This record gives sequence, structure tokens and C-alpha cells, in this order.
Amino acid sequence: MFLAVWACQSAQPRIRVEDPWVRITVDRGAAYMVIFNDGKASDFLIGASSPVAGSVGLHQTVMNEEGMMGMEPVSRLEVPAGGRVELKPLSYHLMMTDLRQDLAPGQKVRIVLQFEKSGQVEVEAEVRQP
Amino acid sequence: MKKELLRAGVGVGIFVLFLAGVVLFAARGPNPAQQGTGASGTVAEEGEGEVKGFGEAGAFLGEPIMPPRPAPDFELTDRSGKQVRMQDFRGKLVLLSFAYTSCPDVCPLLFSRFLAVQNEFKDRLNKDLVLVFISVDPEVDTPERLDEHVRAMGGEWYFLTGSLDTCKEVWKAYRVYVKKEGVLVSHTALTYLIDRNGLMRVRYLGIPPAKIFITDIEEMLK
Repeated sequence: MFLAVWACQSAQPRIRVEDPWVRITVDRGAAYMVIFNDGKASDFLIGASSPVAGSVGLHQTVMNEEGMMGMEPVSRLEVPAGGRVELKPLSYHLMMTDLRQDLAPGQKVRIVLQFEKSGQVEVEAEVRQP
Repeated sequence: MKKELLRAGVGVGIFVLFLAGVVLFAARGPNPAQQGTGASGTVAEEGEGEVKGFGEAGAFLGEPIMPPRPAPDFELTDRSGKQVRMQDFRGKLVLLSFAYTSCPDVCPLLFSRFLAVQNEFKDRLNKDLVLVFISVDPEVDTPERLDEHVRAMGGEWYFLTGSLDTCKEVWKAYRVYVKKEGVLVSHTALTYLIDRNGLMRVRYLGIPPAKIFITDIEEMLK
């Protein structure tokens, strides 16, 4: 019984986030960070929200052969067991729209990440110069 | 007799192969590696004149435009509401790119590259070199909004806008494809370096490091 419970618990994801930061344009922002999963089961980032933004969506920047750059919405992003995923410029990022307040470099922005298994993980992201 | 026929046949065959080689060599034109054609193959096209200045093409880190061609003229509105034409920049180098103020991920990187260029050439900015952006979202990017954006960035560049129809013509002339979906705008990440005579000399696809722009500008300012 004990072994079964232990095995079940050890096969859980363990999410931690490092270096979260935000870049702001006139009325939008993009949030970047490194998400680690120190657990033994994968997890998925499935949503996010922030009190400073009307909505926060997960996007991936893509460029085709002809140099056309755009962003595609991503519904879920896997954070593999024992692995990490980097949200970074020109790649995955959290797009923050309908900003509710002016944000200046150095300010902290609260972002709540929603994971499929781990539930909510809160981070404080620093606003940086573009 | 058979041997003579065989020799004659081989001789004719070699001659035909030689002729074919000459024809193919003549037909292929300049070395594609030096033409500067990218994935879109939009630079050196048929009917654009003779290839000139091959010797200079290798001097740039960006993709040389061979032959250099005149930057299409336009009349757009700058962030102060003033009308600006491409011709107004004659006599100065122009680093020209396309972006929009709401762009959360791609354009800010480009703005940061332009900031680095601005800082590198601060003494020559607007005397020998101008930095220019053209909006790919003119319905949103009003002069007031562009002004707010450039000030917030600490930029000293032109950020031009206009009516959607006018901008569409400009994008097309510069081979920039724009597709708006909701609030997001997909567009070709294309930057041009234009010389003092208004000739497009180098192009950059994507978001190259600022050092690439700086090195090529230094080369062209010589």
C-alpha cells in the first residue's frame, strides 16, 4: 500500500519557473520564462492569466521559407518529465492583450500559469526594456 | 572501317556534349550564389538590367541585391503628420524595415536592433543615415500612436503610415507580404539597406543581429 502511494506520488510532475520577464509594446506584452519539470511525469501548460491583461494566450512565432513571420496560437505546451521548455523571443511566448495599466521597466507583473496536472503556478515577471 | 566509324561517332558525340555545355553555361546567367536570391527569389529577376558591381557584392554581410535597383518611391505620413517621400532621403543611407506597434514578439527585437544601430551611428544619424519603419498595420498605427511608440522606445527613426490602399502598394513594391488575422499581423520580416543614390543594395530576411546591420552600414559609409 505504502509502495503504491509512493510510486503514485513520485510519478507526478514538479513544475518550477525561472527568469520570468515581460516586454511591453503600446498596448500588448509578451511574457517569457523557462519552465522546468523536475518530476517524473510530463505536464502541459494549458492556460494563463494576469491581473494587468484582459487576456493571456500562448503563442508560437513562426517564420516560413519566404521570411513571413507570424504567430500561431498554441492550445497546450508539453513540459516533459525531467525536462524544460523555454518561452523566448521568436519562439513560444505568452501574449498579453488589452493591458489594463501602463507598465514601466522594473515593475513586477503577476502571471498565473495553469498546468494540466500541477494546477496553478504563480510567477512574478519583471518588465524589461524591449 | 568499323573503327573509323566508331572514332567519328565518338568525335561527334564529344562535340555535341561540348556544344551543349557551352549553351547551358551561357543560359544559366550569373552565379546564383552571388545573385542574392532568397527563398522567395525576389531580388534579381529577369528584365532588371545587367549585373554590375559583382566585386562589391561580397563586401556585405547581408544578402546583396544584384543588380542594385532603385528603391520604389512612396508618399507616406510620418509620426508628426508630415508627408514623407522615399526621394527625400536621397544623399543618405536608409535602413528600411516593416513593423507594427502592437507586435508583441517579433518587431520589438527589430526595434532593439535599430536602437543599437542608432547608438552606433548617433553622430551621423539623420545626416548620413536615416532609419525608417513602414507600418504593416496602418488601420491601427496612426501618426499619434506611432509617435507614442517611438518615444517610448527611445527611437529616433521615421515610422511611416498611410491609408491601407497606399500602404498595400508600398508593401507590394518592396515585396513585403502582409496578412492580418484579428489583431495579429503576419508579415515578411524584410529589411533593406539603401545607398545614397536611392539604390537598394542589401536585404536582410528575418531578424539579424545588430552587428550585421552596423558592419554593412560602415562598409557603405566608406
